[in-house]
Formats: sequence, C-alpha cells, structure tokens
Amino acid sequence: MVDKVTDQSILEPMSALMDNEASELELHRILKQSDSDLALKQTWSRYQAAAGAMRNETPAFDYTDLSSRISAAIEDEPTHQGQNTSIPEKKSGFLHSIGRFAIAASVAGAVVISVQTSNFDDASNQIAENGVESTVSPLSLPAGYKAPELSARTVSVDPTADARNQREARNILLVPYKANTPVTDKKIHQQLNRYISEHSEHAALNSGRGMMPFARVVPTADE
Amino acid sequence: MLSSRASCAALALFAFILPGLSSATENQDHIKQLLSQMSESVRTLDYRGLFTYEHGGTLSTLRVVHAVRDGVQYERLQHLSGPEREVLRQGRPVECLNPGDQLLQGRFDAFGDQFEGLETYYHFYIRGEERVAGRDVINIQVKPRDPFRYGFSLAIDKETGLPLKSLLIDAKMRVLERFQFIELELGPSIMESDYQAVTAKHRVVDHELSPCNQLAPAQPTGWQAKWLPGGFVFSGQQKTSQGQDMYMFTDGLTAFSVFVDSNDNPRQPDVKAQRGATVAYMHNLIRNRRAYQITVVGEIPPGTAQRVAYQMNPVGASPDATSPSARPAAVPEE
Repeated sequence: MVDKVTDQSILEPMSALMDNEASELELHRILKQSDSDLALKQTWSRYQAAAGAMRNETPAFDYTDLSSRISAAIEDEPTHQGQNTSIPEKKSGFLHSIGRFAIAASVAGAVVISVQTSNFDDASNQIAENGVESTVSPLSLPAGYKAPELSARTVSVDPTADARNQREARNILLVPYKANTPVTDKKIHQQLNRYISEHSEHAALNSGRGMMPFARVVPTADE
Repeated sequence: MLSSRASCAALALFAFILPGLSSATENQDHIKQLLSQMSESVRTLDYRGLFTYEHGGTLSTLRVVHAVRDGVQYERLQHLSGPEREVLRQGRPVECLNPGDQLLQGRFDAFGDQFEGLETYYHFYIRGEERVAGRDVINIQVKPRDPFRYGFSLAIDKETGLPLKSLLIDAKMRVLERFQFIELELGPSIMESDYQAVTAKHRVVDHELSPCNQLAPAQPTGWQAKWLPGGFVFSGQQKTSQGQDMYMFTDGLTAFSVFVDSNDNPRQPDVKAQRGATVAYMHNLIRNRRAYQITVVGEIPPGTAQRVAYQMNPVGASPDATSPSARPAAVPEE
C-alpha cells in the first residue's frame, strides 16, 4: 500500500513539474523533500509514469541500453539510496543530480521519460562522430543553455587542413573481426567502396529522403 | 478527510491526463501524415537546394535538383566540395512507389498480413518546431523499439513536407551523420539545364533498382535472408556491375544491402567496416561445398549487419550446411 504524502502542498508544484512548468525553486523543494519523504518519491514516480503514458512513451520504452545505464548511474551515486543529500550550489552539478535522481526514481517503478528524451535531444547538438569506435561523452549544459548547432569544433587556419580532412574522409575504418591480422588489403577497400556506392543507390530509393543517401558515397578521385 | 484528499489527488491527476490522452493520438496521426507527405513530396515536387552532409568531423556540401516533367522525375546531385562528382537519376515515373515509400505511406497490403506498420518498430514523437534553411520545420524524433536499427531526428518542412534535416542516432545517443539543408528553392523556376549534367565525370544511376507499386510480397531468388530484423522487407535484387548478387531490404526509414560473391580466399577473417552511419560486415561462409563472401552494407548497427550476414542461405539449401562459422550469431552488440 502506498503511503500518503504528508504535505499536500507539494503536489501542485509537482504537477507543474510534469508539464515542464515548475520554477527552479519548486524543483529544489520537490527534490529536497522527496529525499526524505518516501511517499512523495512514490507519488512522483506515479506521476511520471502517467505523464509518460499520456505522451504515449512509457510502454514503448525498451531501449536495451537503458538498464545498464540505470545500474551504472546508481553505482555512481550511492547517496541517493535514501540518505539525505543537499543540492549542490553549482548549476551543472545540480542538473546532474536531477538526472541521477530521476534515474533512481525510474528504478522505483516508472521510467522517467523527460530525462531520456533530453538525452536523445542533446544528441542532436553533438557533432556527428565517427561511428562505434569513438567515445564522446554527451554534452552536459546548465539549464537554459543550448549547445550551438555546430558545437565546439575549432576552425583551423591551416590551409592544408581541409585537403587533409577530405583525404581522411575517403578512408573507411577497417577492423578485422576475428583474427588479429590487420586488414591492409587494398582490394577489400576498393570492393567496400563499390558496395557502399551500390548500396547508396538502393538507399536513395527506399528511405524516403530523395537523393540524399548519395552523399554517403566514398569520394574517389578516379571515379 | 482521507477520501477528500484522495479525490483531490485523483482530480489533479485527471486534470493533466485528459488533455494528454487526446493529443497523444492526434500526434501519432499527425506524424503518420507527415512521414507519408515526406515520401510524397521528395518525389512529386520541383525543388532545388543546397545541403550539408556531416559525419566523423567532416563536412561536405552538395546541391540537389528535383523536377517532374510529363510525369517523369529528373534528379541531379552535385558534390560541391572534394573531388568533382555528380549523380543523375532520370526517368522514374512520378507515381512509382518503391517498397520504402509504400512502408512510409502505410500501404502495407503489398507485404502480406505479417507486416504491422512502422510504429511497431519505432516510437515517434513530435519535438516542437524550429527553422532550417530559413523555413519553418516540425521536428520528429524517431526512436527504435529494438536494438536492430538506429534512431532518427527528422525536420520536415511545414509547407511542403520535404525533409530538410535528418540525423541518424545510435543507441548511445551519438549522432552518426547529419544531412541538413541550408537553402531551398521551390517551384517553377527550375529549367532543363538545372538537371542536366554539368561535368564530364557524371554518373547515371539506375532508377529501376527496386520494384514500383508492388502488390504482393516479392521473394528473392538465389539467396535469402533466414533472419531479418522485424519490419524489414525485401525490396529488390540485381547483379552488380562486378557480377555479385545484390539483395536489398528496407523498413521504410533505413535500408541495407547484401552482396553475395564467390570467394577464393575462405580463410580471410571477417571484416567490419564503418564510415559515418554506414556499416559493412564481410563474412565468409561455405554453402553446398562452395565458399562465398557475404557483405552486408547499410545504415544499421554492426550487430544487425553481422547477424544478417551469418544467416544468408541459398534458396533451398539446408540451413545447417557445413560452414566454419555456422554458429548462430549472438545478440547484436553495440
């Protein structure tokens, strides 16, 4: 059975929070209070679940990566397991703890969509990175700030840099999958380039985006 | 006292549930309509624009032209940076819906009863509006419901439905590539010279690669995929210029191709390659005492490509034909 929330006056700001309309002050209050008030914590979880369901999000949410991220986040942050925590003064740290708290809340039964959503959205502000091998940590920015569309990439004044980039853009990253033999075979490179080219022709007919997929074709000087 | 508190809470809950309910279904209908419109406009409208393609820290700029003359499409894509390159695609009838378009427009009859629609495999939601190329767009977030495909963030032009921005996002929320228009011009000002080749090095591509307006699920001949991620359908096959068999699959939003080649070096290790969002997985297998090289290329997670490659089989062959690596593929790793 769920305990009753002792202080009813907290419910209104919490409802506002669900609609993304809570003030920062109210958010502080909810965070602080829910740390010591288990009933409030549960209520928050239910609100989150309901709000997520209404946005048609919760049942859909089965990102495989999620569970591991949840456990990792909780391992990082043992202080939220019922102990009293003060909210750090610094804004970025403060945002951080909301995220952590929300993740902990999601373990209590509800998936906190807003946090996941903003992760997904933050991704839009990152530079397109080079595939699976890169490990770029997601941007974390204080509330109210958005990363510029093309984020922190320095502009080089070296005139040869662009040509070098263009050359590098032609390289495909090759990883031999089983044995330790490095793949240096030029034939494989050429064949993959041809395959990507043929595949782009197919993708440009079957992914609803006109000729855009042709931009992916590896530029070769001899084409 | 208790009951009044409970009803207060219930009221508070309903107050935000009820408006939420109707807008959720409305949103889904709106998104379906936007996706359908996207697949329609790129084919039927006259437009000319500049866009950027970005991946792995490199940026290329391109110009695209699309025109419809007498019910036939004329298209040209020109690379404005890097080596001079140009792609022309001409002659495709405007009413030709490829399997990908059929999926995007919700015309699933052609794929048999087992197909349930894009929302079975992706979760769609609208994430507000913004401006791209000086035009108002609606942002749609597309999240996969399984680990076999990537997610997207699409910006669709409010007026025309053209996709003006498309990001491809992996399960770790990294953007693997970005297409984004910086300028778009619509309408009648497009002339014949706009979609004719301007450089000698242009390449003309085949527009009949994939069937038009198919009425029944097509079946591949020669080889078949014993495993496909849910929602992907067979969308055509051909012999490449180098003589390999190419089999194509799409789920409407993304596509992959499987190449089957004979193999004179069966001891070569598997190769995984990646460039931007495009992944290639090269796998050797032996079927009916012959060595083949299977290569899966597409904008899909490496694990999906690997699993498809392991599960390609000649039509009619026994599934457990001797292969040095006939073990079932593991769950795709990220």
